[in-house]
Amino acid sequence: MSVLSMNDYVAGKLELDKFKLLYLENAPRLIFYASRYVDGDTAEDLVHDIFIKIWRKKEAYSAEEGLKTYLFRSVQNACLDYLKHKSVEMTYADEVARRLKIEEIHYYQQSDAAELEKERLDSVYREIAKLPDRCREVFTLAYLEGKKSAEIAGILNISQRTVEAQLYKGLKIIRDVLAFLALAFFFR
Amino acid sequence: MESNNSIEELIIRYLQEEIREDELRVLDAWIHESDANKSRFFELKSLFDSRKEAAFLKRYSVERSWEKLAGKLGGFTDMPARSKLAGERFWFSFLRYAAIIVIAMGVGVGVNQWISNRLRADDTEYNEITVDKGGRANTLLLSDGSKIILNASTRFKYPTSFNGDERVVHLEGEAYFEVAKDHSKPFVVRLKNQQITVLGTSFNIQAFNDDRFSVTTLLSGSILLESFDAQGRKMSSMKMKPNQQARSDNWTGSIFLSETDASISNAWVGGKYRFKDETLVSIVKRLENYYGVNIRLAHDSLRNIRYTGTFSLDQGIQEVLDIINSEEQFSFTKDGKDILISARSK
Repeated sequence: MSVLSMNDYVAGKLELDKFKLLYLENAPRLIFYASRYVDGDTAEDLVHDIFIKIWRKKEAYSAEEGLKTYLFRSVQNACLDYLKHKSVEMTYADEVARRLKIEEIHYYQQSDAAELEKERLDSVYREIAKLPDRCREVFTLAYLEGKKSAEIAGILNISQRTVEAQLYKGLKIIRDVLAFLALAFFFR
Repeated sequence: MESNNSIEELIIRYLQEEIREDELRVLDAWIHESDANKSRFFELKSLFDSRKEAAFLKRYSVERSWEKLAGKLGGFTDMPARSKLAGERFWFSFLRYAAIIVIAMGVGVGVNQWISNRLRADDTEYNEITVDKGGRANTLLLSDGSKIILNASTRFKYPTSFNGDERVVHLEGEAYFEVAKDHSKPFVVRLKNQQITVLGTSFNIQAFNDDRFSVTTLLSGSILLESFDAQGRKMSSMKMKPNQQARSDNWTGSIFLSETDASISNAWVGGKYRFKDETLVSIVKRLENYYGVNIRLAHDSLRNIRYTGTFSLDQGIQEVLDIINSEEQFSFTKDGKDILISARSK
């Protein structure tokens, strides 16, 4: 894997090859993160803008921060900007969603930048396997197959409320385990 | 209209995008009641959002995205042609990572060995996992949502991603399958002398290489079992129904179908080993696989004595042998590293 350090950037030695590596290594995760808040095309454009600024060396940065953290923070800010400057949404639901997204980004800006790494997919999948039977069935259908609660209720022949309760239970269990593991790792 | 919705239900409805406006007002108010509520909501949302990551990474072409960006950079003349840069290798391994996730459960007393050989066969890359004799059950979750639980003494080969018209995997040993439904892409399990085609269902397969028979037991759904003789010629095919068990002869390719209580076959998944009217020689062979020991019978007359019973895989080998020996008709002696079972003279 590439070994790209702040020194390369600082000394202005960034060549196209290294720049491309930087992009290939970080863009997918960054664009996915942005797509949680804005639509897909905008997500890509926002990330591109950040990389263009890096290429043209117009962006100021703090040398203490790691490059990954810098990129992540930039994407957060770009999404915030975009959401805040968007005109008010058409429906109440969309407007609440927009507001909540802004609050969500603010929430994560205050916590550690480890947010990007915190929920590694392999850890999540490992915990899904450990869920109690019924819970795991429901959770797998929602999380791995992206099915809506009404559909899951039909498939498993249970009420939609039961589906929602089991989904919540699964989320809570996995969330708690991962948070605990992250804490445990931190104190190693 | 249900008025007694718990906050948990509302949170889930929001995450699933199935929430009504009045419910959203309630949720919105609750979120802003306290920092703890806010924190709880955002953390659960973040975890649930990650479900889209695998699918996103799979269909996202970072190469194409890079081309777009490169176009915007402008001002340079020698853009490299599509070359094999380290970055592309990284992207491919990222894609592979997102496509197939492997989970190990219950790493216990036995030795579990992972072989991640990238074996190439007609443009598909395969991974292989081996569970040693005496190892513990391992669970695999494939990218299509299928769940496979591998027993001890088992080898399983699966592709890094399911391209193509079929989902093909290879098994030697014992595994319990819960196959995710996909009518457009049948799931195919290849054994040495049989092939099982599934649409979406749960079944147990016992196919150890040195056994004369492979045993397939269907719990739910429907499967097509095809068997081949030792030369690879197709001999029979059988469509199976739930609670049917097929014993396929690895030499001749004949299939013997019988009705059975299917739950006996996959009791091992729950850590229990059930046997019904099973001969001692067969039981002994299973114990060898599960516990990683060698057991010999002192006399051929002992081979065909039949037993019915259940024991938990948590019990040690000695305990199990004691159970079989409940009427004290056997004595056990240690012969080097092997265990020798002989008839006790009364």
